[in-house]
Amino acid sequence: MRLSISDLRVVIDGAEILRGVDLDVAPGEWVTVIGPNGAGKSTLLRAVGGSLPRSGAVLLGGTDIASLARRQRAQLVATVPQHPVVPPGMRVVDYVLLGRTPYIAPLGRESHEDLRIVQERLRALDLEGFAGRELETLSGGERQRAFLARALAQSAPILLLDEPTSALDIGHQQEVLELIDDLRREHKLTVLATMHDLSLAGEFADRLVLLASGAVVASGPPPEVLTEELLSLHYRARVRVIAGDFGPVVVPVRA
Amino acid sequence: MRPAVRPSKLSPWWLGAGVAAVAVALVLGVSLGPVSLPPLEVAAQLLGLDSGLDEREAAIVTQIRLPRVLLGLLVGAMLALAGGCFQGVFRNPLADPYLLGIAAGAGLGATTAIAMRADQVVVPIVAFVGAMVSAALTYVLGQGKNLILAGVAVSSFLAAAQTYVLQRNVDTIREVYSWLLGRLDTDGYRQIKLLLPYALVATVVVLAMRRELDVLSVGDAEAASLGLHPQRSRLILLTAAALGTAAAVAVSGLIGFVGIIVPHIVRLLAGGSYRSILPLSVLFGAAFLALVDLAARTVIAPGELPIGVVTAFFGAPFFVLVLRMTRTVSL
Repeated sequence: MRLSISDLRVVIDGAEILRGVDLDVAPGEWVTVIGPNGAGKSTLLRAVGGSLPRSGAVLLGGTDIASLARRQRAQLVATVPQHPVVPPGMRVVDYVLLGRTPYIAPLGRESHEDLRIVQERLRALDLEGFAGRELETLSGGERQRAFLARALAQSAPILLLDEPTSALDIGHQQEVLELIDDLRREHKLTVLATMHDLSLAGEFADRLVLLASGAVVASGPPPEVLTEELLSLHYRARVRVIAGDFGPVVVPVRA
Repeated sequence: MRPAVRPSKLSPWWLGAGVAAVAVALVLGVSLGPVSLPPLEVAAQLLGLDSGLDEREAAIVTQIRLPRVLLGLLVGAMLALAGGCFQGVFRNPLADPYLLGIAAGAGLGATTAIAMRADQVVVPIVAFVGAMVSAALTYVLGQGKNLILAGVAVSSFLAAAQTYVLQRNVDTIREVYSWLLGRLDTDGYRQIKLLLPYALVATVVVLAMRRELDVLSVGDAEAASLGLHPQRSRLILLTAAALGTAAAVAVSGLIGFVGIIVPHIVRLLAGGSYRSILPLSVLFGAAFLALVDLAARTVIAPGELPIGVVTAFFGAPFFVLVLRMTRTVSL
Protein backbone atom coordinates (compact mmCIF):
# COMPACT_ATOMS: atom_id res chain seq x y z
CA MET A 1 0.00 0.00 0.00
CA ARG A 2 1.31 3.41 -0.95
CA LEU A 3 1.88 6.04 1.70
CA SER A 4 1.76 9.63 0.46
CA ILE A 5 2.42 12.59 2.70
CA SER A 6 2.02 16.09 1.36
CA ASP A 7 2.61 19.44 3.00
CA LEU A 8 2.43 17.86 6.47
CA ARG A 9 2.62 20.45 9.22
CA VAL A 10 2.50 19.79 12.94
CA VAL A 11 2.43 22.48 15.61
CA ILE A 12 2.96 21.46 19.24
CA ASP A 13 2.59 24.11 21.97
CA GLY A 14 3.01 26.87 19.43
CA ALA A 15 6.23 25.46 17.99
CA GLU A 16 6.15 24.27 14.41
CA ILE A 17 7.79 20.83 14.54
CA LEU A 18 7.11 19.80 10.94
CA ARG A 19 7.11 22.54 8.30
CA GLY A 20 5.52 21.12 5.20
CA VAL A 21 6.91 17.62 4.72
CA ASP A 22 6.34 15.84 1.39
CA LEU A 23 7.14 12.15 1.28
CA ASP A 24 6.02 9.27 -0.87
CA VAL A 25 6.65 5.64 0.07
CA ALA A 26 5.89 3.11 -2.66
CA PRO A 27 4.14 -0.18 -1.85
CA GLY A 28 6.69 -2.60 -0.42
CA GLU A 29 9.37 0.06 -0.11
CA TRP A 30 11.48 0.65 3.00
CA VAL A 31 12.16 4.31 3.69
CA THR A 32 14.14 5.38 6.73
CA VAL A 33 14.01 8.91 8.07
CA ILE A 34 17.29 10.17 9.52
CA GLY A 35 18.16 13.52 11.01
CA PRO A 36 19.63 15.14 14.11
CA ASN A 37 17.87 15.14 17.49
CA GLY A 38 14.82 17.37 17.41
CA ALA A 39 14.52 17.30 13.62
CA GLY A 40 10.98 15.95 13.93
CA LYS A 41 11.51 12.27 13.04
CA SER A 42 9.32 10.80 15.77
CA THR A 43 6.73 13.53 15.27
CA LEU A 44 6.54 12.59 11.59
CA LEU A 45 5.82 8.97 12.51
CA ARG A 46 3.24 9.91 15.10
CA ALA A 47 1.50 12.21 12.64
CA VAL A 48 1.38 9.45 10.05
CA GLY A 49 0.03 7.09 12.71
CA GLY A 50 -2.78 9.61 13.20
CA SER A 51 -2.17 10.44 16.85
CA LEU A 52 -1.31 14.15 16.41
CA PRO A 53 -3.28 17.14 15.22
CA ARG A 54 -1.85 18.12 11.86
CA SER A 55 -2.51 19.93 8.64
CA GLY A 56 -1.71 18.63 5.20
CA ALA A 57 -2.60 15.24 3.80
CA VAL A 58 -1.54 11.74 4.79
CA LEU A 59 -2.89 9.28 2.23
CA LEU A 60 -2.93 5.52 2.70
CA GLY A 61 -3.45 3.94 -0.70
CA GLY A 62 -5.25 7.11 -1.74
CA THR A 63 -7.48 7.47 1.35
CA ASP A 64 -6.84 10.32 3.75
CA ILE A 65 -6.31 9.00 7.29
CA ALA A 66 -8.48 11.86 8.58
CA SER A 67 -11.47 10.19 6.93
CA LEU A 68 -10.80 6.80 8.56
CA ALA A 69 -12.26 5.58 11.83
CA ARG A 70 -9.65 4.59 14.41
CA ARG A 71 -10.26 0.90 13.96
CA GLN A 72 -9.95 1.14 10.18
CA ARG A 73 -6.74 3.12 10.57
CA ALA A 74 -5.35 0.51 12.96
CA GLN A 75 -6.04 -2.14 10.31
CA LEU A 76 -3.89 -0.20 7.82
CA VAL A 77 -1.06 1.23 9.93
CA ALA A 78 0.84 -0.58 12.69
CA THR A 79 3.33 1.29 14.86
CA VAL A 80 6.20 0.17 17.04
CA PRO A 81 6.99 3.19 19.22
CA GLN A 82 10.48 3.98 20.40
CA HIS A 83 9.76 2.96 23.99
CA PRO A 84 6.67 0.77 24.07
CA VAL A 85 4.95 0.43 27.43
CA VAL A 86 5.63 -2.95 29.05
CA PRO A 87 2.48 -3.73 31.03
CA PRO A 88 3.36 -5.41 34.34
CA GLY A 89 2.29 -9.03 34.59
CA MET A 90 1.22 -9.39 30.96
CA ARG A 91 2.21 -12.57 29.16
CA VAL A 92 3.75 -12.44 25.68
CA VAL A 93 0.81 -14.23 24.05
CA ASP A 94 -1.67 -11.75 25.55
CA TYR A 95 0.53 -8.86 24.49
CA VAL A 96 0.70 -10.04 20.87
CA LEU A 97 -3.07 -10.63 20.92
CA LEU A 98 -3.51 -6.91 21.65
CA GLY A 99 -2.48 -6.40 18.02
CA ARG A 100 -5.79 -7.98 16.99
CA THR A 101 -7.77 -5.28 18.83
CA PRO A 102 -8.84 -3.48 15.60
CA TYR A 103 -10.51 -6.69 14.42
CA ILE A 104 -12.33 -7.58 17.64
CA ALA A 105 -15.74 -5.99 18.15
CA PRO A 106 -15.79 -3.52 21.10
CA LEU A 107 -17.53 -5.89 23.50
CA GLY A 108 -16.58 -9.06 21.67
CA ARG A 109 -13.85 -11.62 22.05
CA GLU A 110 -11.13 -12.93 19.79
CA SER A 111 -11.96 -15.44 17.03
CA HIS A 112 -10.08 -18.57 16.02
CA GLU A 113 -8.68 -16.57 13.13
CA ASP A 114 -7.24 -14.02 15.58
CA LEU A 115 -5.62 -16.79 17.60
CA ARG A 116 -4.26 -18.41 14.45
CA ILE A 117 -2.62 -15.13 13.41
CA VAL A 118 -1.15 -14.62 16.88
CA GLN A 119 0.28 -18.12 16.75
CA GLU A 120 1.74 -17.49 13.31
CA ARG A 121 3.37 -14.20 14.35
CA LEU A 122 4.84 -15.84 17.45
CA ARG A 123 6.35 -18.50 15.23
CA ALA A 124 7.62 -16.00 12.64
CA LEU A 125 9.44 -14.05 15.36
CA ASP A 126 10.70 -17.16 17.09
CA LEU A 127 8.75 -16.37 20.24
CA GLU A 128 6.80 -19.61 20.63
CA GLY A 129 8.95 -20.64 23.56
CA PHE A 130 8.27 -17.34 25.30
CA ALA A 131 4.52 -17.19 24.72
CA GLY A 132 3.64 -18.03 28.31
CA ARG A 133 6.34 -15.84 29.87
CA GLU A 134 5.69 -12.37 31.21
CA LEU A 135 6.88 -9.66 28.84
CA GLU A 136 8.81 -7.97 31.67
CA THR A 137 11.04 -11.02 32.08
CA LEU A 138 12.30 -10.96 28.47
CA SER A 139 15.67 -9.56 27.40
CA GLY A 140 15.91 -6.44 25.23
CA GLY A 141 16.16 -8.36 21.97
CA GLU A 142 13.32 -10.71 22.86
CA ARG A 143 11.13 -7.79 23.87
CA GLN A 144 11.81 -6.02 20.60
CA ARG A 145 10.63 -9.15 18.80
CA ALA A 146 7.48 -9.19 20.92
CA PHE A 147 6.81 -5.51 20.07
CA LEU A 148 7.21 -6.40 16.38
CA ALA A 149 4.96 -9.44 16.74
CA ARG A 150 2.18 -7.27 18.17
CA ALA A 151 2.52 -4.77 15.33
CA LEU A 152 2.53 -7.56 12.74
CA ALA A 153 -0.54 -9.12 14.36
CA GLN A 154 -2.39 -5.99 13.22
CA SER A 155 -1.98 -7.39 9.67
CA ALA A 156 -1.56 -3.81 8.48
CA PRO A 157 0.13 -3.18 5.12
CA ILE A 158 2.04 -0.18 6.50
CA LEU A 159 4.55 -0.57 9.33
CA LEU A 160 5.95 2.42 11.22
CA LEU A 161 9.08 1.80 13.28
CA ASP A 162 10.44 4.48 15.59
CA GLU A 163 14.06 3.66 16.39
CA PRO A 164 13.50 -0.10 16.27
CA THR A 165 17.05 -0.90 17.36
CA SER A 166 17.92 1.86 19.80
CA ALA A 167 17.77 -0.45 22.83
CA LEU A 168 19.77 -3.28 21.30
CA ASP A 169 23.41 -4.31 21.05
CA ILE A 170 25.03 -4.47 17.63
CA GLY A 171 24.31 -8.15 17.06
CA HIS A 172 20.66 -7.86 17.99
CA GLN A 173 20.37 -4.70 15.89
CA GLN A 174 21.37 -6.66 12.81
CA GLU A 175 19.18 -9.60 13.75
CA VAL A 176 16.06 -7.45 14.21
CA LEU A 177 16.63 -5.46 11.02
CA GLU A 178 17.17 -8.63 8.96
CA LEU A 179 13.97 -9.99 10.46
CA ILE A 180 12.04 -6.86 9.52
CA ASP A 181 13.43 -7.05 6.00
CA ASP A 182 12.36 -10.69 5.64
CA LEU A 183 8.90 -9.95 6.98
CA ARG A 184 8.58 -6.95 4.70
CA ARG A 185 9.27 -9.13 1.66
CA GLU A 186 7.05 -11.94 2.85
CA HIS A 187 4.06 -9.74 3.71
CA LYS A 188 4.76 -7.02 1.10
CA LEU A 189 4.86 -4.39 3.83
CA THR A 190 5.52 -0.71 3.30
CA VAL A 191 8.01 0.33 5.97
CA LEU A 192 8.65 3.84 7.26
CA ALA A 193 11.28 3.89 9.99
CA THR A 194 13.43 6.35 11.90
CA MET A 195 16.99 5.50 12.89
CA HIS A 196 20.00 7.10 14.48
CA ASP A 197 22.67 4.68 13.30
CA LEU A 198 23.39 6.02 9.83
CA SER A 199 25.39 3.09 8.44
CA LEU A 200 22.74 0.58 9.52
CA ALA A 201 20.00 2.88 8.21
CA GLY A 202 21.67 2.98 4.80
CA GLU A 203 22.23 -0.79 4.65
CA PHE A 204 18.62 -1.69 5.21
CA ALA A 205 16.56 1.06 3.58
CA ASP A 206 15.71 1.41 -0.09
CA ARG A 207 15.70 5.12 0.37
CA LEU A 208 16.76 7.59 3.06
CA VAL A 209 15.09 10.87 3.90
CA LEU A 210 17.14 13.44 5.77
CA LEU A 211 14.98 15.62 7.98
CA ALA A 212 16.37 18.82 9.53
CA SER A 213 14.42 21.44 11.48
CA GLY A 214 11.12 19.92 10.43
CA ALA A 215 11.74 19.85 6.69
CA VAL A 216 13.08 17.33 4.19
CA VAL A 217 16.53 18.49 3.10
CA ALA A 218 17.64 15.41 1.13
CA SER A 219 16.01 12.25 -0.12
CA GLY A 220 17.18 9.37 -2.27
CA PRO A 221 19.17 6.13 -2.28
CA PRO A 222 21.57 5.91 0.70
CA PRO A 223 24.74 6.91 -1.23
CA GLU A 224 23.08 10.17 -2.28
CA VAL A 225 22.00 11.12 1.24
CA LEU A 226 24.91 9.81 3.32
CA THR A 227 27.50 12.27 2.08
CA GLU A 228 30.10 14.07 4.14
CA GLU A 229 28.75 17.46 3.02
CA LEU A 230 25.11 16.80 3.98
CA LEU A 231 25.97 15.13 7.28
CA SER A 232 28.45 17.78 8.40
CA LEU A 233 26.01 20.52 7.47
CA HIS A 234 22.89 19.12 9.15
CA TYR A 235 24.36 17.10 12.02
CA ARG A 236 27.28 19.48 12.65
CA ALA A 237 29.36 16.34 12.75
CA ARG A 238 32.80 15.48 11.47
CA VAL A 239 32.40 12.22 9.62
CA ARG A 240 34.10 10.18 6.99
CA VAL A 241 31.91 8.24 4.56
CA ILE A 242 33.45 5.05 3.22
CA ALA A 243 31.93 2.92 0.48
CA GLY A 244 30.84 -0.44 1.93
CA ASP A 245 29.46 -3.64 0.41
CA PHE A 246 25.85 -2.82 1.28
CA GLY A 247 25.99 0.97 1.32
CA PRO A 248 28.04 3.81 2.70
CA VAL A 249 29.70 3.37 6.10
CA VAL A 250 29.61 6.51 8.21
CA VAL A 251 32.48 6.88 10.67
CA PRO A 252 32.77 9.78 13.12
CA VAL A 253 36.25 11.30 13.23
CA ARG A 254 37.86 13.62 15.71
CA ALA A 255 39.05 16.97 14.39
CA MET B 1 -5.69 -25.97 14.17
CA ARG B 2 -5.74 -25.38 17.85
CA PRO B 3 -3.15 -22.86 19.01
CA ALA B 4 -0.58 -24.33 21.35
CA VAL B 5 -0.44 -21.38 23.71
CA ARG B 6 -3.72 -19.89 24.65
CA PRO B 7 -4.35 -16.34 25.78
CA SER B 8 -5.31 -15.62 29.36
CA LYS B 9 -8.93 -15.99 30.10
CA LEU B 10 -11.09 -16.69 33.06
CA SER B 11 -10.23 -20.17 34.28
CA PRO B 12 -13.29 -22.29 35.06
CA TRP B 13 -11.47 -23.60 38.15
CA TRP B 14 -11.04 -20.16 39.64
CA LEU B 15 -14.58 -19.25 38.68
CA GLY B 16 -15.78 -22.36 40.53
CA ALA B 17 -13.59 -21.49 43.51
CA GLY B 18 -15.08 -17.98 43.58
CA VAL B 19 -18.64 -19.28 43.52
CA ALA B 20 -17.76 -21.77 46.25
CA ALA B 21 -16.22 -18.99 48.37
CA VAL B 22 -19.41 -16.95 48.07
CA ALA B 23 -21.50 -19.99 49.05
CA VAL B 24 -19.32 -20.73 52.07
CA ALA B 25 -19.36 -17.10 53.22
CA LEU B 26 -23.13 -17.03 52.80
CA VAL B 27 -23.78 -20.16 54.82
CA LEU B 28 -21.27 -19.33 57.57
CA GLY B 29 -22.45 -15.74 57.79
CA VAL B 30 -26.03 -16.82 58.21
CA SER B 31 -25.24 -19.69 60.58
CA LEU B 32 -22.96 -17.97 63.08
CA GLY B 33 -23.96 -15.31 65.55
CA PRO B 34 -25.36 -14.94 69.08
CA VAL B 35 -27.52 -17.99 68.33
CA SER B 36 -25.44 -20.40 66.27
CA LEU B 37 -27.35 -22.60 63.90
CA PRO B 38 -26.12 -25.80 62.22
CA PRO B 39 -24.68 -24.78 58.80
CA LEU B 40 -26.11 -27.77 56.93
CA GLU B 41 -29.63 -26.99 58.09
CA VAL B 42 -29.11 -23.33 57.26
CA ALA B 43 -27.95 -24.30 53.76
CA ALA B 44 -31.07 -26.39 53.34
CA GLN B 45 -33.24 -23.49 54.54
CA LEU B 46 -31.51 -21.12 52.07
CA LEU B 47 -32.16 -23.57 49.24
CA GLY B 48 -35.82 -23.68 50.21
CA LEU B 49 -35.64 -27.32 51.33
CA ASP B 50 -37.05 -28.85 54.47
CA SER B 51 -34.40 -27.75 56.96
CA GLY B 52 -35.55 -28.88 60.38
CA LEU B 53 -35.12 -25.32 61.76
CA ASP B 54 -37.97 -24.14 63.96
CA GLU B 55 -39.98 -21.06 63.13
CA ARG B 56 -37.91 -18.72 65.27
CA GLU B 57 -34.63 -20.02 63.81
CA ALA B 58 -36.00 -19.75 60.29
CA ALA B 59 -36.93 -16.14 60.99
CA ILE B 60 -33.40 -15.41 62.24
CA VAL B 61 -32.11 -16.80 58.98
CA THR B 62 -34.40 -15.08 56.53
CA GLN B 63 -35.29 -11.87 58.33
CA ILE B 64 -32.16 -10.89 60.25
CA ARG B 65 -29.01 -12.58 59.06
CA LEU B 66 -29.67 -13.19 55.37
CA PRO B 67 -30.24 -9.51 54.49
CA ARG B 68 -27.07 -8.53 56.34
CA VAL B 69 -24.93 -11.21 54.69
CA LEU B 70 -26.36 -10.38 51.28
CA LEU B 71 -25.56 -6.72 51.85
CA GLY B 72 -21.99 -7.67 52.81
CA LEU B 73 -21.68 -9.74 49.65
CA LEU B 74 -22.97 -6.91 47.47
CA VAL B 75 -20.87 -4.16 49.04
CA GLY B 76 -17.75 -6.34 48.95
CA ALA B 77 -18.33 -7.20 45.31
CA MET B 78 -18.75 -3.52 44.42
CA LEU B 79 -15.69 -2.28 46.30
CA ALA B 80 -13.43 -5.02 44.93
CA LEU B 81 -14.71 -4.56 41.37
CA ALA B 82 -14.27 -0.80 41.60
CA GLY B 83 -10.75 -1.21 43.00
CA GLY B 84 -9.71 -3.57 40.20
CA CYS B 85 -11.28 -1.26 37.64
CA PHE B 86 -9.57 1.87 39.03
CA GLN B 87 -6.22 0.05 39.04
CA GLY B 88 -6.66 -0.59 35.30
CA VAL B 89 -8.08 2.80 34.42
CA PHE B 90 -5.31 4.69 36.21
CA ARG B 91 -2.65 2.05 35.46
CA ASN B 92 -1.72 2.16 39.08
CA PRO B 93 -1.56 -0.91 41.34
CA LEU B 94 -2.37 1.16 44.43
CA ALA B 95 -5.56 2.72 43.10
CA ASP B 96 -8.54 2.03 45.33
CA PRO B 97 -11.82 3.90 45.78
CA TYR B 98 -10.76 4.81 49.30
CA LEU B 99 -7.24 6.00 48.50
CA LEU B 100 -8.29 7.95 45.41
CA GLY B 101 -10.67 10.08 47.46
CA ILE B 102 -13.64 8.70 45.56
CA ALA B 103 -15.12 7.11 48.67
CA ALA B 104 -14.59 10.40 50.55
CA GLY B 105 -16.43 12.25 47.79
CA ALA B 106 -19.28 9.78 48.01
CA GLY B 107 -19.12 10.16 51.80
CA LEU B 108 -19.42 13.93 51.67
CA GLY B 109 -22.35 13.62 49.28
CA ALA B 110 -24.09 11.07 51.46
CA THR B 111 -23.42 13.04 54.67
CA THR B 112 -24.88 16.16 53.11
CA ALA B 113 -27.93 14.25 51.95
CA ILE B 114 -28.46 12.65 55.38
CA ALA B 115 -27.88 15.95 57.21
CA MET B 116 -30.45 17.62 55.02
CA ARG B 117 -32.80 14.76 55.83
CA ALA B 118 -33.14 13.84 52.19
CA ASP B 119 -35.08 10.74 51.24
CA GLN B 120 -33.02 7.54 51.48
CA VAL B 121 -33.42 6.97 47.73
CA VAL B 122 -31.68 10.29 47.04
CA VAL B 123 -28.60 9.42 49.13
CA PRO B 124 -26.84 7.21 46.54
CA ILE B 125 -27.45 9.78 43.81
CA VAL B 126 -25.89 12.63 45.79
CA ALA B 127 -23.10 10.23 46.79
CA PHE B 128 -22.52 9.45 43.11
CA VAL B 129 -22.19 13.15 42.27
CA GLY B 130 -19.66 13.49 45.10
CA ALA B 131 -17.77 10.42 43.85
CA MET B 132 -17.53 11.72 40.28
CA VAL B 133 -16.43 15.21 41.38
CA SER B 134 -13.73 13.77 43.64
CA ALA B 135 -12.57 11.30 40.95
CA ALA B 136 -12.22 14.18 38.49
CA LEU B 137 -10.40 16.30 41.09
CA THR B 138 -7.93 13.54 41.96
CA TYR B 139 -7.32 12.77 38.31
CA VAL B 140 -6.72 16.39 37.31
CA LEU B 141 -4.51 17.16 40.33
CA GLY B 142 -2.52 13.95 40.10
CA GLN B 143 -2.20 13.68 36.35
CA GLY B 144 1.38 12.96 35.42
CA LYS B 145 2.41 13.51 39.03
CA ASN B 146 1.30 11.34 41.87
CA LEU B 147 -2.23 10.05 41.78
CA ILE B 148 -2.27 8.52 45.25
CA LEU B 149 -0.92 11.64 46.96
CA ALA B 150 -3.49 13.70 45.07
CA GLY B 151 -6.10 11.26 46.35
CA VAL B 152 -4.85 11.72 49.92
CA ALA B 153 -5.13 15.50 49.57
CA VAL B 154 -8.60 15.29 48.04
CA SER B 155 -9.69 12.84 50.76
CA SER B 156 -8.47 15.12 53.56
CA PHE B 157 -10.12 18.16 52.03
CA LEU B 158 -13.44 16.38 51.58
CA ALA B 159 -13.22 14.89 55.08
CA ALA B 160 -12.80 18.42 56.45
CA ALA B 161 -15.82 19.59 54.48
CA GLN B 162 -17.73 16.59 55.79
CA THR B 163 -16.83 17.40 59.41
CA TYR B 164 -18.07 20.93 58.86
CA VAL B 165 -21.39 19.63 57.52
CA LEU B 166 -21.60 17.33 60.54
CA GLN B 167 -20.93 20.08 63.08
CA ARG B 168 -23.56 22.28 61.49
CA ASN B 169 -26.08 19.46 61.84
CA VAL B 170 -25.40 18.08 65.29
CA ASP B 171 -28.81 16.46 65.47
CA THR B 172 -27.78 13.88 62.85
CA ILE B 173 -24.22 13.44 64.11
CA ARG B 174 -24.76 10.06 65.75
CA GLU B 175 -26.43 8.61 62.71
CA VAL B 176 -23.75 9.89 60.34
CA TYR B 177 -20.86 8.97 62.61
CA SER B 178 -21.80 5.32 62.98
CA TRP B 179 -22.33 5.16 59.24
CA LEU B 180 -18.97 6.85 58.58
CA LEU B 181 -16.99 4.10 60.27
CA GLY B 182 -18.47 1.60 57.90
CA ARG B 183 -21.34 -0.58 58.93
CA LEU B 184 -23.57 -3.17 57.44
CA ASP B 185 -26.79 -2.39 59.26
CA THR B 186 -29.92 -3.67 57.71
CA ASP B 187 -33.58 -3.31 58.35
CA GLY B 188 -35.03 -6.04 56.20
CA TYR B 189 -34.08 -5.89 52.55
CA ARG B 190 -34.39 -2.12 52.12
CA GLN B 191 -30.63 -1.40 51.73
CA ILE B 192 -30.25 -4.29 49.32
CA LYS B 193 -33.05 -3.00 47.13
CA LEU B 194 -31.40 0.41 47.18
CA LEU B 195 -27.96 -0.88 46.19
CA LEU B 196 -28.88 -3.65 43.78
CA PRO B 197 -29.80 -1.63 40.64
CA TYR B 198 -26.60 0.43 40.82
CA ALA B 199 -24.52 -2.65 41.53
CA LEU B 200 -25.97 -4.43 38.52
CA VAL B 201 -25.33 -1.53 36.14
CA ALA B 202 -21.76 -1.05 37.40
CA THR B 203 -20.98 -4.77 37.22
CA VAL B 204 -22.41 -5.28 33.74
CA VAL B 205 -20.62 -2.24 32.28
CA VAL B 206 -17.23 -2.93 33.86
CA LEU B 207 -17.27 -6.66 33.06
CA ALA B 208 -18.34 -6.01 29.47
CA MET B 209 -15.34 -3.74 29.03
CA ARG B 210 -12.74 -5.86 30.80
CA ARG B 211 -10.90 -6.62 27.57
CA GLU B 212 -10.46 -2.89 26.92
CA LEU B 213 -8.76 -2.55 30.30
CA ASP B 214 -6.08 -4.94 29.05
CA VAL B 215 -5.62 -2.76 25.95
CA LEU B 216 -5.46 0.39 28.10
CA SER B 217 -2.54 -1.14 30.00
CA VAL B 218 -0.19 -0.22 27.12
CA GLY B 219 -0.94 3.48 27.62
CA ASP B 220 -3.10 5.94 25.75
CA ALA B 221 -0.91 6.52 22.70
CA GLU B 222 -0.50 2.82 21.92
CA ALA B 223 -4.11 1.99 22.77
CA ALA B 224 -5.19 4.67 20.28
CA SER B 225 -2.89 3.20 17.62
CA LEU B 226 -4.67 -0.13 18.21
CA GLY B 227 -8.00 1.49 17.35
CA LEU B 228 -9.31 2.33 20.83
CA HIS B 229 -10.64 5.65 22.12
CA PRO B 230 -8.74 5.59 25.42
CA GLN B 231 -10.32 8.67 26.98
CA ARG B 232 -13.82 7.49 26.11
CA SER B 233 -13.24 3.95 27.43
CA ARG B 234 -11.71 5.34 30.58
CA LEU B 235 -14.57 7.74 31.21
CA ILE B 236 -17.18 4.99 30.81
CA LEU B 237 -15.28 2.63 33.11
CA LEU B 238 -14.63 5.33 35.67
CA THR B 239 -18.27 6.39 35.71
CA ALA B 240 -19.49 2.82 36.14
CA ALA B 241 -17.01 2.06 38.93
CA ALA B 242 -17.75 5.37 40.69
CA LEU B 243 -21.46 4.58 40.49
CA GLY B 244 -20.89 1.21 42.15
CA THR B 245 -18.64 2.77 44.80
CA ALA B 246 -21.10 5.58 45.52
CA ALA B 247 -24.01 3.22 45.95
CA ALA B 248 -21.96 0.97 48.24
CA VAL B 249 -20.76 3.93 50.31
CA ALA B 250 -24.31 5.30 50.56
CA VAL B 251 -25.57 2.14 52.26
CA SER B 252 -22.49 1.02 54.17
CA GLY B 253 -20.28 4.03 54.85
CA LEU B 254 -16.55 4.15 54.31
CA ILE B 255 -15.10 0.64 54.14
CA GLY B 256 -11.52 0.95 52.98
CA PHE B 257 -8.93 -1.35 51.44
CA VAL B 258 -11.30 -4.03 50.07
CA GLY B 259 -10.60 -2.61 46.61
CA ILE B 260 -6.90 -3.09 47.06
CA ILE B 261 -6.69 -6.38 48.95
CA VAL B 262 -9.02 -8.47 46.81
CA PRO B 263 -7.89 -7.59 43.25
CA HIS B 264 -4.25 -7.99 44.28
CA ILE B 265 -4.73 -11.45 45.72
CA VAL B 266 -6.77 -12.42 42.66
CA ARG B 267 -4.00 -11.07 40.41
CA LEU B 268 -1.38 -13.11 42.23
CA LEU B 269 -3.43 -16.29 42.06
CA ALA B 270 -5.15 -16.18 38.68
CA GLY B 271 -2.91 -14.02 36.49
CA GLY B 272 -2.61 -10.40 35.45
CA SER B 273 -5.31 -10.10 32.79
CA TYR B 274 -8.32 -7.98 33.66
CA ARG B 275 -10.41 -10.58 31.89
CA SER B 276 -10.00 -12.76 34.96
CA ILE B 277 -9.17 -10.15 37.63
CA LEU B 278 -12.52 -8.36 37.38
CA PRO B 279 -15.01 -11.24 37.47
CA LEU B 280 -13.02 -12.98 40.20
CA SER B 281 -12.79 -9.75 42.20
CA VAL B 282 -16.59 -9.61 42.22
CA LEU B 283 -16.84 -13.12 43.67
CA PHE B 284 -13.92 -13.05 46.09
CA GLY B 285 -14.69 -9.45 47.11
CA ALA B 286 -18.20 -10.53 48.03
CA ALA B 287 -17.00 -13.53 50.03
CA PHE B 288 -14.23 -11.50 51.68
CA LEU B 289 -16.45 -8.74 53.02
CA ALA B 290 -19.16 -11.15 54.21
CA LEU B 291 -16.51 -13.04 56.19
CA VAL B 292 -14.96 -9.84 57.56
CA ASP B 293 -18.42 -8.80 58.69
CA LEU B 294 -18.81 -12.14 60.40
CA ALA B 295 -15.57 -11.46 62.28
CA ALA B 296 -16.64 -7.89 63.07
CA ARG B 297 -19.82 -9.01 64.77
CA THR B 298 -18.47 -12.09 66.58
CA VAL B 299 -14.98 -11.15 67.84
CA ILE B 300 -16.16 -8.90 70.69
CA ALA B 301 -19.70 -10.32 70.85
CA PRO B 302 -22.17 -9.21 72.05
CA GLY B 303 -20.48 -5.96 70.98
CA GLU B 304 -19.70 -5.24 67.36
CA LEU B 305 -16.65 -3.72 65.67
CA PRO B 306 -17.29 -1.26 62.84
CA ILE B 307 -16.46 -3.25 59.70
CA GLY B 308 -14.41 -0.38 58.24
CA VAL B 309 -12.12 -0.63 61.27
CA VAL B 310 -11.55 -4.34 60.64
CA THR B 311 -10.78 -3.91 56.93
CA ALA B 312 -8.37 -1.07 57.76
CA PHE B 313 -6.67 -3.21 60.41
CA PHE B 314 -5.85 -5.84 57.77
CA GLY B 315 -5.79 -3.55 54.77
CA ALA B 316 -3.23 -0.99 55.84
CA PRO B 317 -0.44 -3.56 56.35
CA PHE B 318 -1.45 -5.16 53.06
CA PHE B 319 -1.17 -1.78 51.34
CA VAL B 320 2.38 -1.43 52.63
CA LEU B 321 3.14 -4.93 51.36
CA VAL B 322 1.88 -4.06 47.88
CA LEU B 323 3.83 -0.80 48.00
CA ARG B 324 7.04 -2.70 48.84
CA MET B 325 6.44 -5.31 46.15
CA THR B 326 5.51 -2.93 43.35
CA ARG B 327 8.37 -2.59 40.92
CA THR B 328 7.18 0.58 39.23
CA VAL B 329 8.22 3.59 41.28
CA SER B 330 5.52 5.97 40.09
CA LEU B 331 2.59 6.10 42.43
